[in-house]
Amino acid sequence: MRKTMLTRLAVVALLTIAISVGCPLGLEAAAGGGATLTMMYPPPRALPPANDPIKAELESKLGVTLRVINPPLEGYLEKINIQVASRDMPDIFTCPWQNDWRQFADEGAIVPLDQYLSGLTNLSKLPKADWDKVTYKGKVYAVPVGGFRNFAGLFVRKDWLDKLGLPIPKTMDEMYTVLKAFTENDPDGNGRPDTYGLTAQTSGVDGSCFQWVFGAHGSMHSSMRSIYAVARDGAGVVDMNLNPANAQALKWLNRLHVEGILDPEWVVNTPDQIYMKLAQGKVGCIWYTWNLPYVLDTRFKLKEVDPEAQWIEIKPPVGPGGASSLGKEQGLVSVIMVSSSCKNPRLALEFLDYIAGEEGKRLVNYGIEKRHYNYINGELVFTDEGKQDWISHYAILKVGFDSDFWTSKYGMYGKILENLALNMPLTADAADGVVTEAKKKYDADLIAYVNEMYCRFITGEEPISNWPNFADTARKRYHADEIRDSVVQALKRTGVVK
Amino acid sequence: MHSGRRISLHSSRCHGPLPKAARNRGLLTMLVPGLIYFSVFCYGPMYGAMIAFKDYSMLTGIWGSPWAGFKHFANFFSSPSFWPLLRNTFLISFYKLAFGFPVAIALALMLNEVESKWLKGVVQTISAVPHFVSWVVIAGIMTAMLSPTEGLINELVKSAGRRPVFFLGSKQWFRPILVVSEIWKESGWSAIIYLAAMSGIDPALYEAARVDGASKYRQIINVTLPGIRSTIAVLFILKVGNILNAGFEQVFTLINPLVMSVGDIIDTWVYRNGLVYHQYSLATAVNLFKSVVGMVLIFSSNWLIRRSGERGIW
Amino acid sequence: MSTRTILGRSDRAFDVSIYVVLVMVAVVGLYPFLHVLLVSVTAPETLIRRGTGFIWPGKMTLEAYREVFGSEAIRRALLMSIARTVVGTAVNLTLTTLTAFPLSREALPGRNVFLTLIVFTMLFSGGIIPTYLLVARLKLVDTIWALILPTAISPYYLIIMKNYFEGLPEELYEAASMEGASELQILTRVILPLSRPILATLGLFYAVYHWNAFFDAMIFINDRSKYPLQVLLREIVVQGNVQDMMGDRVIFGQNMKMAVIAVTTIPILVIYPLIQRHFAKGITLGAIKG
Repeated sequence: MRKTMLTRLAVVALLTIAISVGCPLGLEAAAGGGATLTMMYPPPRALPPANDPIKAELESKLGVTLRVINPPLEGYLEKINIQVASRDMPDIFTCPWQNDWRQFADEGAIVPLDQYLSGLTNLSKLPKADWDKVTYKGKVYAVPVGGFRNFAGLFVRKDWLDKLGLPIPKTMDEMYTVLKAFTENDPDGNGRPDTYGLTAQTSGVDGSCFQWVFGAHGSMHSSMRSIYAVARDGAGVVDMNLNPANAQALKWLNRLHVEGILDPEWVVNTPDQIYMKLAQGKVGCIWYTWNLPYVLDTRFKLKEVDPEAQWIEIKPPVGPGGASSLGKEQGLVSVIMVSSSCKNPRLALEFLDYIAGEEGKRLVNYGIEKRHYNYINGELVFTDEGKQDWISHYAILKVGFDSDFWTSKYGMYGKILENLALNMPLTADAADGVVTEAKKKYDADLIAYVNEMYCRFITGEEPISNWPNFADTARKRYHADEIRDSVVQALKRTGVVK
Repeated sequence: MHSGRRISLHSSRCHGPLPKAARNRGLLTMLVPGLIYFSVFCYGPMYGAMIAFKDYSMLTGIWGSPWAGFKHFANFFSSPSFWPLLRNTFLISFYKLAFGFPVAIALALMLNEVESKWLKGVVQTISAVPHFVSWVVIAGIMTAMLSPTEGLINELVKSAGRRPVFFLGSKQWFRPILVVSEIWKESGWSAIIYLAAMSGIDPALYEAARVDGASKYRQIINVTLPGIRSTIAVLFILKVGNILNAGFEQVFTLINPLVMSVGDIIDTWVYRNGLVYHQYSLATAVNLFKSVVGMVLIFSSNWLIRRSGERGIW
Repeated sequence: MSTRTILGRSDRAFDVSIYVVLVMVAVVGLYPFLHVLLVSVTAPETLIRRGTGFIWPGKMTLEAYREVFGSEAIRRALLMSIARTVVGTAVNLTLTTLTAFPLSREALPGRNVFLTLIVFTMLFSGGIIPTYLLVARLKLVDTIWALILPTAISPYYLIIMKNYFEGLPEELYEAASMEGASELQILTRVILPLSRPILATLGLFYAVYHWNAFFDAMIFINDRSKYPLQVLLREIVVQGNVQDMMGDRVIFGQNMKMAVIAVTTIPILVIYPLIQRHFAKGITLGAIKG
């Protein structure tokens, strides 16, 4: 007995020694000396292999050693905040646009970039409007990452439309007819009433799975935060989640619910379930991320399950007042900041400038020429290795919409994105990226209340006639007015509102 | 296997009892590594709780941030969600405790009665398996099973001639679903600790009970349960102290706007409030509130348990 | 004689009902994992045709497992996870035992003060920021110790172990101390051999904690070659619930997600039955008397 205990202890001791030797304290020594650049961002795609040729290429081009920290997306913000709080910051880090990146400037965690930007020609080509968005208190505090105005689409089953002899719906009335027919006219021809016209996922892309319905009624909605439009007279803003026009949109949705056209599970659907339902041919229409058809075809083998199935993206239908909008225009995707513990901010920006230029853009997006991609007759073609998911790991800065990249990576699916990103009617949030104390304090409660009530309006648990009551409660009890006033103050300062 | 133990003691050099002081010194010395751990890793960072009373700023750090008094507590208490949150958290936890706690004990008791080692091992292992499947996955399975259109449960409901129920979107069903799924996922795992305690019961006690003609049921009541009574007591105190933790991951993955008013708990509220703007001070204040309540509950339940004649934590 | 047969009969009925219930428990308990396993090996086409509600094997594929084990990063992370679990659990058990034992002895001066202080840490903590600062100051960032030392003792398990020690008969201590054994000798020679059930149980709990832990690794480890398995796998499993802003991510199929869960769960399922034999009925005290 004691002997075995001793052996066990010995094994443990040995393991302990082995591991502590195997894990040297602190950071790895920078290879080859010279400057080191530490970057932190959530892994955009798969992680590259250990001896990553693209990293080596970047390092030799720029004469720096790159050290990349990729915390999982799930805990990314937590990680940034802890690193900043402990002043143990990477040189460069990114932050999603919707989060309060200005806080880092207020806290002195990031440096203004104006003095380091001169002569960086590639960065200077980024749109002025984007640079304005990252200007705070008169100084540029970040490098803007734009590129996408929109990446969600309204998708319908083209083969179902054809089968039922219906045209692509252009108005909300036609849309209703189509969705009803998808539910009641047995589009899959199995003789059973087992299809729904429309489904959704509540936490969908950027917060409103029914934005196209609200857009058709000349309004907006977000289930993530309060959003605003500048009032007609330009003197104030309208809280769009409480806009009376939304009551009309909710009425339209309520009708779908009552008539069994809307999948009742739309409030609980997860992405996995959405893909499953669509692949199984249970639903004919959804507003979703651009790559939906791509995911269905590649990961869910839709072509094998149902060769007939054809998902296409359509323009958002026009409402009674002639309005239409597919979604909210993305402000920026994210911002790239240089921390105050960065020893050489110029070097950090030179790196970003390099990947914003043609040569760097190709290297970080496409990989190494000949090995990962080729230009055949002027057309970008990826090799097998080039199609790997880790290839664009360092592409933290996307400049404009790169049709070549998306088309060669995703074939016809890339065209969908191009169409959605460039050719769809969108609505902008006038207070995009504005953060105020009142918003921080009350917005989460307000939005939870708004979401609950919207769902109840749609299911009919709460009659639409209660809308004024709802709006009143939101304004007073949930401080919607106070938040709006604080936003107006902030917008006055930037001149958006008179 | 254990027969050599007593003899081995004779090999100790000194004979006769050690003086009390030496004994105390021995005990205290043993405690040193643990005390170092608790002071360095638990009490060392404890100053961080201060930010509940400050407006935390990353620039000035925990010590330098300006004092804010009870502002963050006031924000929490004055939120229109405060009372619903407290009610939901308490009720969900209470139901889980009231139903889940006895189920784990019952499962352990039943497993303990199984003579066949093989069957016992299999059931014991299988019943613990759901513990390892994360809530995200369980939620996926549950949504499929409870689906109003094609779920297994609703097929049964329909065959009984009733209308299908949208369980996950129903205010009446949401809390029972939380409780039942928690029992389903955790009972097997929670039973382990009782099984360990049961293995410490002297077999002679069972022998004596059998000689007295006690049925298996009576043996459980008269021998097994008393044998694990103190384990039950301690676990009960610890659970009660945790009553404001109603199970974040579970609620978070299952909650939806339709059941917000019955399912939103303190932890999901804190999560939502910190989702976009990291509000460390608010989150810390809420946690402090939960801890104080937990501490009070631990002390009082410990006192109650002791009054009932059982040894508690102290 | 007659009472005995009646008892025997009611005992048999009792046994039968227990068996029935347990078999039901097993069926219900097995369902989620069976689901996970089946989905992980069922071809997507079959999965879609049959629906996820109840799966019956159709066309099989091991593609997902090939993908999981084909990744160099995942193999490396697996080693890290194993190392963390083994060393971490050893540290946990040693320190927990060393602390629980004196706390279980009435003789310990200041016992209630120590206990109160420990229970306090169960509820109150300073939060993640000061803990990170401490770990950074101790130069533990990017080492395995950052994952082990901050959670070296769980107060919860400590109390459970202390309670177990208190349940052992007082005569054991008396007999041993009469023979002049020091407290450490009593612990290692008398108490520990009798504590196999609790050591096995808490060892299992601690090991499972280390095996599944993800948050601390994300915070304390920057070098991705030192990430344990869970950090890499978490992305695959949770993704699909977190919608990202770009829509430019790899979407993993159901197979992959479920394979990942199977891969992380199976080692525990293999080890658990081995641990079970340490708490067979009456193992401890029966042995002393025998």
